[in-house]
Amino acid sequence: MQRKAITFAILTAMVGVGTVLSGCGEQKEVTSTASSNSQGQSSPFETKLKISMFNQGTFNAAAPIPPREEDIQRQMLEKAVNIDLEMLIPQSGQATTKLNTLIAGGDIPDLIFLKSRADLAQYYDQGVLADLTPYLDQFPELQKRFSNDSWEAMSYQGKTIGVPGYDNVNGISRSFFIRNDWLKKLNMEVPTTPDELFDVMKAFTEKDPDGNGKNDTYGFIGGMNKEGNLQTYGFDSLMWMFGVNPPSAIDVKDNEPVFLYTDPKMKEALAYINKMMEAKVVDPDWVTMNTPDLLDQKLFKGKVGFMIRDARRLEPDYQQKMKEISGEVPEWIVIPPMTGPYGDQIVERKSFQGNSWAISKKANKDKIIRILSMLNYLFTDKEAYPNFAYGIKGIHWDLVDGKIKNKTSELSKEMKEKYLWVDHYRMPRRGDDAEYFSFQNPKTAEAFENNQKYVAATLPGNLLTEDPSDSLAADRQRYINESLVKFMTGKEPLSSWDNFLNTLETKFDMQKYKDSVIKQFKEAGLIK
Amino acid sequence: MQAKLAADAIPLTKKRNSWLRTIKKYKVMYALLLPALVYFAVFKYIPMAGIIIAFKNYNLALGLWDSPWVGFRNFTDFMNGVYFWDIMRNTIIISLYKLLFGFSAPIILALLLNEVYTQWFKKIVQTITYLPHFLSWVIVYGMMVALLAPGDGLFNMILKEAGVEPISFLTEPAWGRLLIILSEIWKDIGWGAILYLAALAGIDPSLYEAARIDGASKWRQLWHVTLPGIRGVMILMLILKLSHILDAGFDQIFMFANSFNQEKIDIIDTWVYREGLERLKIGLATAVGLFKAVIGFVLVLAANKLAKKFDGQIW
Amino acid sequence: MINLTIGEKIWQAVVYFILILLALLCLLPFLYVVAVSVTPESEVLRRGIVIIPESFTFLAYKEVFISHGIGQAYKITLFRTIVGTALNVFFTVIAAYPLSKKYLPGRSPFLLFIVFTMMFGGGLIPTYLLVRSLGLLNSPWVLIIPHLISAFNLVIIKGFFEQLPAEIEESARVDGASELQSLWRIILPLSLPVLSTISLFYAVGHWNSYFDAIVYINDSNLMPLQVILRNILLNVATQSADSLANSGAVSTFAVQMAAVVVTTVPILIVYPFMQKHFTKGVLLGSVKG
Repeated sequence: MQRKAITFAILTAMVGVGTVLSGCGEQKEVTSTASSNSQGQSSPFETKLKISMFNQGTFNAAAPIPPREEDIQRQMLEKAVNIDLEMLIPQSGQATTKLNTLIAGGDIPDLIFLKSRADLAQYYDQGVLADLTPYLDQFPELQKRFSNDSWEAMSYQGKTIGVPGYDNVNGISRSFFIRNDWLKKLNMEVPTTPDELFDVMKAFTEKDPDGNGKNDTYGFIGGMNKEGNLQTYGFDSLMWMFGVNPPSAIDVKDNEPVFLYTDPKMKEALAYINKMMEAKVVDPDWVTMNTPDLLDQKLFKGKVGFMIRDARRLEPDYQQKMKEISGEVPEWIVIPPMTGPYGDQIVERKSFQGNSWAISKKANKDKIIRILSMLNYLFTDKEAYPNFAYGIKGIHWDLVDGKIKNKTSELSKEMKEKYLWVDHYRMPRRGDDAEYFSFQNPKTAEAFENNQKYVAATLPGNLLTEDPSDSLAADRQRYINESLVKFMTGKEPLSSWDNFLNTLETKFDMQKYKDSVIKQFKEAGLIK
Repeated sequence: MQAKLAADAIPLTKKRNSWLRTIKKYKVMYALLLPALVYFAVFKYIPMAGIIIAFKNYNLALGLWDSPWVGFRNFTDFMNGVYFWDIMRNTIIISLYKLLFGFSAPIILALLLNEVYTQWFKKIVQTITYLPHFLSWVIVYGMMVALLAPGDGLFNMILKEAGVEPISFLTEPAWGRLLIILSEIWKDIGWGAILYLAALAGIDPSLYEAARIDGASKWRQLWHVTLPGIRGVMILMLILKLSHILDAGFDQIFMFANSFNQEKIDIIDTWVYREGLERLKIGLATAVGLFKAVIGFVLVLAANKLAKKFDGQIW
Repeated sequence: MINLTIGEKIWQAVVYFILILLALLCLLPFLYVVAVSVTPESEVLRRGIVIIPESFTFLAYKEVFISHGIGQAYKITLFRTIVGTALNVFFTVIAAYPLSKKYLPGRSPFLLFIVFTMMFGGGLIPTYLLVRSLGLLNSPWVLIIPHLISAFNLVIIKGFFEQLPAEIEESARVDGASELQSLWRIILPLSLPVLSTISLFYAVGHWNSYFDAIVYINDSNLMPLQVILRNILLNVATQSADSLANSGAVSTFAVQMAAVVVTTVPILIVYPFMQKHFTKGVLLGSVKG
């Protein structure tokens, strides 16, 4: 009973988010051509085509590929559009190498999943990808499946060169976690401004909130990925309080590009973080936090009072883990983001449709249509949907009273492990599919729902692609990342901020980059 | 005119004859060598045509031959990078330290093992010191975090107990190179010693006996019997290591580098990874590879020449 | 050896002390890996560093075997290691023998020809194109043939051959043995230490490599162990954050370490078996006698 209520709440919340995910409403009456020829009926194509698929969009690259007879999803795809599907899952970290050698050898995969717009544009520029513009009109269902924003992200130099990869989900992975039991113990309120947050973090650090008599707690922990990009594990959320973010956050205001990492407000954000560092409220281990699982461990151990984590860590599995580790379940709650000095209250920006499906330039018209038909089936066929999004009928989901019920969360660990490979096909899952997530803890659902209010619009800078003649791009990126970290830690005083901006101009040819940005924004019609 | 031709022709046929005679004389030897020559020609020399990529703006769809030429653009892009001198300095310093210590540590281990008379002890130590070679850098780094992280790292917890300020080993630039070299030595000391142990096994025991009868001390035996016995391998390893002087160890440094310490440990290969490979600049990556190869080759030529003085040359 | 002087006794003690210390340094991390692989995750997180677990579980091993297709990968790795090493050693030895003869005309240019390839190479794409045109892609042989001879190992073995006393071979040749016979009967038995070393180098090389498989093989059934191991090790970092999968099947630390144990223990066992060839001087004496 309770679950139904949650599901309903999320759905209303999602509708509230806007028309972003339009075309996926549950009540839609339109029956597509693809769905009428799904299971059971023969495909409309007479000749069998061999399609190779480079699937780096899999939700689990470590999962093996099962033999064809066990691979129900593959059989469905093959049957629906009469193809012979060869799926290749590249190893994480080696996907680019693998794809490049395949292309160089002339074996361009027919269907390629690409992870970013930069990749899509690069491969198109190199003459590897087909222009899909002339064919998409034949697939109105597929076009309706994704929002206009998503399709815009597929367009490059006036052409549509990809199909959106899968729905992004916002408002879940960057949730503001705080220890409510610590707040209660210290008689403090949930912080709503940066200053209040600072006081809370300081108290968490100094006032022994866990009452063990040891000075072993901290107010906050964040991290950054191996590349030194601060846009990842927590510090970016602190920066949003001041309306800024690390590279490559670029906004457009008053007909001008605004580089949010060199904006004067960034100075304030850095000063705030530096104040935290000086007050020693940040767990010193933050410097080694370069993967999300390390931060999760910190969350489980419960010695840090405030962090940015995935709302699903409130789910019973993880609560159980916390109990095993520290003997008790810390009372983590997810709170709304603080309101910054300029009125910013942001969890994150709505994700840009970075990922995409692209088709080899070598594919002829027949093949392109066949591949698009396959994607059309994969993404829009109603009957097929649970088989891809949830998994195998009878195992991952079932019909209960005529309604689809996702049973994934009830599966034993062993069964989950046995069927890891269904993750290879989960891409059609809708961003607003409550049944897919089927949260066990009402608080997770509540957090997810509340966070939606604080998901701000996508930044226009996501549309930008790199100028290949800009030979200082990587060096510049490194310099900015290093400098921001130095300002944060106080290794470089903020008084040398102007010096930093000057060096960017003189040594790292920032002007060249700015020119390229302005040119691209003009082409995209974002500035005049 | 006529006479000149004839004069030319005679040594030519003579030469050809002597060639044929030589081949005939050593036909078995050349036949044994042939598979290797064919292998290197096919699998190493044919792909070497790809070096032209270094002078091209390589385009995946156009391929090797049709991509546009750019002259030395890829090389100048590399050398004009803001961090060029930094990464060159870091590469050479790390590489030289690795050459110095990474080269001598296994020799010392092999010599120490040579001093051990208890066979089972020797075998166990040998086997154990060879274990770390099989742990990939990902795992080694994971362990270093568990040991050295500034907060929860075991070592820093001990320091804290002792009232000493924790040290951020993994992020302090000053510690970066030291950790890289120490962990490299640790990982490959036992592995590297194997070759020297094989060389030590080849020393004729009668030489030691003779030395002992002459009343030579342990040190003199080491100096006059042991070291000469492994000198050949030492020189060989030194020359071979020089050929890769500009490879400071990508897999390792890629794991160890972060925003805090990379000013001291960012090397050529990590730079190429960021600037070249992640951005599809295959021409740039090839150019840097060629640059490294030329320097390595020059050093090997010089080292081989020098080694001739000790009769330790490769060719 | 019985009547050691005091100085020698102290020296021995120092040697043993250093070696024990080094052995501990090398052993503890490995014990840690094994310990983590059999300890429940919560205990590892609670205690930080575990060497002796308080409670045992073999769940991680079960997961490695059930969900990651380890069995098939074992076959491929064994194939490449056994067949590959045999071919490697054979072709390296037959080339090293003539190259070790200083009297052989053309020896220097041939050696230079080979050493040159240690520095200069065509790079990934040209090599891939070659392998592709030879029809080797997607075949288990692609894991063996492109690395048939390592110039490094060839030069080493050639160096050892050169150091063998020339007189032994000469006397055999005087007795009428052919080159092949003297290689087989004289040189190889005398070179057992270096032959086992080179075999180990090749075998470990085969066992540890993954990159060639990733590049040259598309069929997931032909992937060797190391590829699977890397999948397990590297996937953790990226998986949950990017794709928001709901299967909750992120490999845990214990599973990673179990994978390390499963994929390294077999090759570790090889070394002790070849150590008997390192016993000092035994061979030379026996041949001479």
